[in-house]
Amino acid sequence: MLNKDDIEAFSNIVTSENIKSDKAHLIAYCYDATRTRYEPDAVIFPRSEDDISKVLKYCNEHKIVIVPRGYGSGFTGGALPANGGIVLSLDRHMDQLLEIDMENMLGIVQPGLVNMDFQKAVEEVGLFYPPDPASEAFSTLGGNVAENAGGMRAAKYGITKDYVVALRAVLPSGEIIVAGKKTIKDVAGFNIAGILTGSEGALAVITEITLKLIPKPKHKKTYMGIFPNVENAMNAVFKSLASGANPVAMEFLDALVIKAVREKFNIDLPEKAGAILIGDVDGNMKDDLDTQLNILEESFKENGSIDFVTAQNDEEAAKLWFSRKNASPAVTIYGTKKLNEDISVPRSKLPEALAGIYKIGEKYGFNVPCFGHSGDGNIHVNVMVPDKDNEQQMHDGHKAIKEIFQYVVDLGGTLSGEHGIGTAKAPFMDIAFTPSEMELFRSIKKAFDPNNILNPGKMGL
Amino acid sequence: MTKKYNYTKITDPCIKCGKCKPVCTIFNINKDETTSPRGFLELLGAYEKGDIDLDQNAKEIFETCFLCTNCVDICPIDIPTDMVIEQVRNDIAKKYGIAWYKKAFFFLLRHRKIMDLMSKLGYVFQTCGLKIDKEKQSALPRFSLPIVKKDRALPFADKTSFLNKYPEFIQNSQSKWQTIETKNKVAIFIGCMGNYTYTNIGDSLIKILNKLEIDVMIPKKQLCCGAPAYFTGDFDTVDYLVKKNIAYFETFVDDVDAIIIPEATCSAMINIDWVHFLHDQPEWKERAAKLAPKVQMATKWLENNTKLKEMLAGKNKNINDLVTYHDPCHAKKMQGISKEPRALLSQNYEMKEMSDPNRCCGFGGVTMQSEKYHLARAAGLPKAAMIRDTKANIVSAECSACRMQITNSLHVSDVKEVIFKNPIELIGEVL
Repeated sequence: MLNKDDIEAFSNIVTSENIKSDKAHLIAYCYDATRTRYEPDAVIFPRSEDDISKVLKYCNEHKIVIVPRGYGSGFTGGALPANGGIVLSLDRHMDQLLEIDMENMLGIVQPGLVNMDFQKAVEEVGLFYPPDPASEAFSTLGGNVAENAGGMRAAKYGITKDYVVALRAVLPSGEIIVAGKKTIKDVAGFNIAGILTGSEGALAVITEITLKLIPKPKHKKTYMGIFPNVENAMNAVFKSLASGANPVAMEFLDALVIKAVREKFNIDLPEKAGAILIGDVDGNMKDDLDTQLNILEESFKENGSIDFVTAQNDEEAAKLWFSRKNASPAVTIYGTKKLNEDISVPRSKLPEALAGIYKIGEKYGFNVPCFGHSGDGNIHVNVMVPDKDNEQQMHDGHKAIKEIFQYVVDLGGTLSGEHGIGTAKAPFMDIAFTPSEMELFRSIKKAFDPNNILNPGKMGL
Repeated sequence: MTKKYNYTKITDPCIKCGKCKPVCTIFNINKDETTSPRGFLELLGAYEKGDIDLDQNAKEIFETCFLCTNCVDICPIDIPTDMVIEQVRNDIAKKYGIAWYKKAFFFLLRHRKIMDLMSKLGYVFQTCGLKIDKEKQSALPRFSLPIVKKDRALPFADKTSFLNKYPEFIQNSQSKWQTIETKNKVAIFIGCMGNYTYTNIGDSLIKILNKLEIDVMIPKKQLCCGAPAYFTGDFDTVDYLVKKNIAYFETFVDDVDAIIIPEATCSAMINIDWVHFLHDQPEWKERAAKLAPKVQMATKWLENNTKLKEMLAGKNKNINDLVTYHDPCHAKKMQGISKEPRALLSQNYEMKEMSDPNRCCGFGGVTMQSEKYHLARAAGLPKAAMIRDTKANIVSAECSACRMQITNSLHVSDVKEVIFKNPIELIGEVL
């Protein structure tokens, strides 16, 4: 608990306007998209790196827990004050786009800037920031870096970590560090920016992010292939990528998802469709797009596709994408509680992973509709519990999730492709990592944060 | 103490995804989760459960919502956040009372004759207190008042109200036009701002209907739709106005094809919010629901039921003006109306879209325009900037609340060259 002196000390740093400890604020900053609730003791809205430095120094000296937060739209509880303390909300004052460096093709931003606002700004000058998590319109770049967010465009363009060039950050001691330079090549010292990316705010508070930008491709076209089953679809993915197609996204829906979309939204999809692949190809030359679409069509046909369509305009493209974009709300027809995980496997293991996941679902009597990023091996697995108020069913649901994690890790996969670990997946860390690996994580955490004041308890640390 | 409204039934399903935050008018000003749709829902749930009181702090929070309904529009599970905010404002009104000047205002809304008189007196005396700009139909106060600061552009009353200016019936057609399907006759619900202030809208609508040879009824006993009181939580006033109006509408609704309204807020209030408001009075609710389909925003009805567009296509193009259209929250988000006014205007006017026509102008209601004017002002500035960027000289929206707010936003942003006109006025000018 904070005492009066603490509040006064913080008020002196950030002004009384920017620290709140009234009940309404504690309630409004207690949740994120996991819908789990932990009330903080106060919320602070820092105005600058200097504020953050002073606040952290005070917290470190007085052993006060502090949790950085962006928009609070995370799926694993990364920004939840699970052990109370202070929520450090970076989206009020530290949300500026500082610079677009055209010569070096870099964007320099504050952590509270919303991903989509950044994308729009760089596209206005002909550049492109590819990482596009589904929450792009309502998640901050600071949060994206802290969780190492992915997105649909990952198959071709990679994920957040592939775009982080340099970071400024404040250590729990209050010291300010600069990790990385504006250079493309930099082999001096440890790759601290790499360690901070995906560190879930447990090592340092990121205060400035330098992101790589690329030229915006001039053309884009949407395609859709329909298959009798997921196995055919996955083989079509391998074949087309190996044949030289380089799609921006290669998303799949399985039979249960197709059925759900058809029923919930009255969408016209073929009855016999057992799997669908949807994606975009992009490039600067229209010919290049056509070549890629030809490769896709041929590879799809070789693997038994029933149909292959391309969109002729934006409206048609939106129509093709509709099923994928609404997959998540559609699957709710299978149950009142959705236990969704975003496991990731080597692409080659996709058919095996899906077969195993369905088997586990069958064992417990759950529908497990799956969709996601077949281009990069990241699957959204939805264990649908028919009745969320039935204790036995919920218990079985969690057991099924644990089994799925174990199975995926055995296939050489991992617990999370893009959502992070936070509090939600912390109990499963020992499935994916050995005791000595966990010990290494703890040592790293301790090196940055000896008093364990920064976002403690996340990632099972 | 009456039973607390069942907030959690509406607030608990929120999945806390956060989609509503970047589109929320007040969140974009405050950047504070307590004043975001997700936060409002969480706090209303806590209020019902007794975790927070409706104290001064909570009151302030719930009064900051602009009721723009952006959040309702984007919510993947369609949570009616606006409805629960309106509900809690009623609890606030019960606990704290309603400020004297709002009470006086709502009293006038209930009593048309006294309002008429006040408006006449206001017309005579307003030149003492206001510097009037006829072209912009706005007025600047000459001195600051407790609730109105000096730097604002305000609407002013016209000499004769719309309802007092015209007869109850205007015959425009030959009777042979009437068929079993169509009576070729509409009633006009004008709205208070159109009645007292922006009377040119009504004049233009009458002109349009005359050119279309459609008979007009002007129901003289129409009262305020209740929107200002509803958004402020004065449910007694709403109850009075809604029921008076319903009973009155029922006396003539079968004689007309539609009751048309050149105002987004009044039309949304009548055909959507009346039913919401009457949710616990089944008999009245049913009566409101029966009327609703007959009540339509003017441009929508004109576009879908008349030959107005074809008629406009035959008229000259206006080459002097550039028009940008702003989507009122109560038109696009609540009623799905955005194409209709554009389809009509683009027949004769060159149009240029602003960067975000769907962004709320920031009017926000009576409280926002008085005690919380600083928030309305802040919400208005981005709208003024995007209007300026279009280089249009006319901004149009079928809403007089937007008109009052946007006119003031342009004034405080020093954008002098742009005037506001209702699309009905612009169409009237072409005919």
